[in-house]
Amino acid sequence: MLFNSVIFLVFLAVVLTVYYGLHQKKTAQNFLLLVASYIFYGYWDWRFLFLIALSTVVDFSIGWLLGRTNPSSGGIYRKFLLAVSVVTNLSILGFFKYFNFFSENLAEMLALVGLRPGTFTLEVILPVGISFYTFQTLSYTIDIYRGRMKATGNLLDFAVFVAFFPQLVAGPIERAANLLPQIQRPRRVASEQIYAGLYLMLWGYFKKIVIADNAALIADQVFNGYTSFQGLDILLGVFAFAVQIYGDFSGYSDIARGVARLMGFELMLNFLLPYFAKNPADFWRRWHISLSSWLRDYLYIPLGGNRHGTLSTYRNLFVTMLLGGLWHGAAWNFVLWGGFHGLILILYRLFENGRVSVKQPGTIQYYLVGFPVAAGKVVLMFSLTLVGWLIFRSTSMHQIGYLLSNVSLIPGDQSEVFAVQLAFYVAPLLAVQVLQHIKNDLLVILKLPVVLRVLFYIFLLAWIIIFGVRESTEFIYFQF
Amino acid sequence: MNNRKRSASMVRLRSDGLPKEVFLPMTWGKLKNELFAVLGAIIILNFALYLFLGEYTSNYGYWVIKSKWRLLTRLEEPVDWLILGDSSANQGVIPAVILEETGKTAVNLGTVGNMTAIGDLWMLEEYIARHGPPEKVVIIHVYDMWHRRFFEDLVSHVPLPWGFWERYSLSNQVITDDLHPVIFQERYLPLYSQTRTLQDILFRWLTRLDNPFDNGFAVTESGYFPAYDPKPDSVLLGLEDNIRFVDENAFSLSEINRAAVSEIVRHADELGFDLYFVNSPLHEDLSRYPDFQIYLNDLFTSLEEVAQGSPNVHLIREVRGYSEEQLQTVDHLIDPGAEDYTRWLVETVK
Repeated sequence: MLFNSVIFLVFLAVVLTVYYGLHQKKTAQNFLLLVASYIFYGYWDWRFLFLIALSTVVDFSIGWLLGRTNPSSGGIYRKFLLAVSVVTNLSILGFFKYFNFFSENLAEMLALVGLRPGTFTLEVILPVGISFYTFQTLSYTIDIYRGRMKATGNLLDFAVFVAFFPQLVAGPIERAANLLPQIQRPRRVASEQIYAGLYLMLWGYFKKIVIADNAALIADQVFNGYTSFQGLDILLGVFAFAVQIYGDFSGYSDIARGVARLMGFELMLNFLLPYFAKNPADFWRRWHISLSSWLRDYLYIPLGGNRHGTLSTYRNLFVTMLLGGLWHGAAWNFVLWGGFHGLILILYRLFENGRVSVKQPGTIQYYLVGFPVAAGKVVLMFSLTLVGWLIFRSTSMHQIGYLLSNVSLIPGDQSEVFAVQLAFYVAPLLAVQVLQHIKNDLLVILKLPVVLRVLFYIFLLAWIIIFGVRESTEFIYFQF
Repeated sequence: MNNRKRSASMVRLRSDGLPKEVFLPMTWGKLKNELFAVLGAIIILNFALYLFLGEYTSNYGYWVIKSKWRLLTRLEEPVDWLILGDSSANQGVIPAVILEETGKTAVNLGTVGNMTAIGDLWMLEEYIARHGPPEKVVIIHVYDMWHRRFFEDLVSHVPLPWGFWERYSLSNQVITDDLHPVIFQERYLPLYSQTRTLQDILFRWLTRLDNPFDNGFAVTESGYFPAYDPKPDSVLLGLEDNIRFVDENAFSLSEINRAAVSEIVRHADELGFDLYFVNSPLHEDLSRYPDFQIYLNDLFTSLEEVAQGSPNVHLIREVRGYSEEQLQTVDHLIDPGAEDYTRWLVETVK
């Protein structure tokens, strides 16, 4: 069930009506949420429900068993339990997401040394959102193992935590320590939450169906027929994809967070003006924060983080980003994209030590030095991000090679059309984000005088109705 | 470090160090006020667009339908010749030339092909109800209109009160109850239903500073829609499509066109006016193309069957051909061509 479909809006209206009618009866509300979440998920394919139920039962049981052990003793048993959780979850993920990829690549590698075993692939359907809920449930057992949270003894609460429909298929990947307590306590939906929820949903739908889906028309043209394009056309196509993937994914996150707010839940922020990042580390603090922080906490730091010297830090960074790339999909372009980001993280660490002091805004030094340097850093980082998206969106090495070797600032046949269309759709987003950046406040719109605020909402709603792409297009991150 | 500070100050951090926003307090009263203000404004905007698009739509078809029906309902004096048909008639017949050549008054009520002969029938009935039968009724259509179905949503653009269709023949066949919501939406919810038109107007206004109150369309007082720029390249492209069409399709008269023609013929017989079915102007190569001749022959055979030898009905089989320099599309003339076509029409009909 797609957020941008009529059936979802009807579903949400029904769920909210019943939910509000249950008046803080926590168990009944949670039961409703579980049923609604399973309907939401089963709407894609009812067979997926067995997987999510399996994942739920395994991690609930292991969490419960871990909770009965003493963290200061029984180390081997606790490690065994954690291993069962990790192996079960990663096996499910590995089989459904990576089996064919590894099978095909193994066959190709063997062919290189003269062996021809034939490829063995299965018609495996990738369950929607499997990467998201697998990481979410894994964090639960790992956090209990680490003694950072207590296990829940309530299977219903835990099942809601795993399947909570607003963020089930594309995040944000929530931490049990944040979401589970919200599920466990009675919820009273306040007017602030309704307001915040509606605002987030409106802004999210605007980003998805006005900005992302229209930018996709350009990006798809360029990437799907790439050999017909040259120079600036390619650059604008890549730029369009940057706009598309940001609008699509951050739009989804905002709708998810908005829907959750309408039910009294607070989910984490997933995007923090990522294209204003000044370096790769800053980018990953702003882009898909729930994944990057997950990778930091459950992969990079356990690998040693930056605790064992420079080389070890670089290795850990690179491995983390490589696996982060692979998390996105079973294809070499994602691995390459992860590797590219790992590489620029390392290069920035190597060469970005000499910092220019950025004076406070309002001073002459700021306008002469601080601002141009900061702006230059943002432009450079954005350019590198575009290179990353070029790799990410391409479907073959040939395509990556062609696009990289033909991209330039020389106008192509479609450049003017693409530029005008992109400017038209990106302008509102850019205006809002520049304001957010300057005011250093994501909620700056909500602090505008009421007349301006209402005019802004009217604009968003009218643009969604007029310029929104009506066909329900899938969110990019569903495939991950 | 600077980045970390900036990120941290833009949002609050949760106990686990991950970011979240903190929304401002909001009372139920303010929430309701803002919600109603937004929804109210959307309703007002929709109404404003209803009025705006009624005058300045950039959709040629919608605009022509509105303009011609307005012309019909505001016509103060009866005319001698009533010109009906599609956009080829709209752009091809100059009533002033008819007056000059014959001394007869005429009005051009040609609209668009997708209105089919139902559009002709309803306009004729509206005219007769207001002014009685004219001396001659000339119906001009492009050859590939006759197989089409009626596009019901176009009814929404006729500027008459809701349910107006009920006073015309065949309305119960073309406007069934299940179509009412579609027509209502198309007519009264333009913010939702006419998004392509709105996109076009807004996009051109905001990116090219085009005046949204000037759609560039205008008809003369007698209903002629003059065009001046030939488009030979697009004519030649269209010519290929038309040749392919007659190569691949045998003629068929749609049921709704058959029924509408039958009703029009009945009116001609009962009221005693002369009724002419005339081909639209066409590119000369198409008019001479063998498969087109076969198609056209079948077309007139079908019309003859419907007319059943009525003495009031005249089928003009001749096709007036033009070069691409006199056309905008395969069947849409520019002004000099329209003058020639009208003189030819006068010679043929009078």
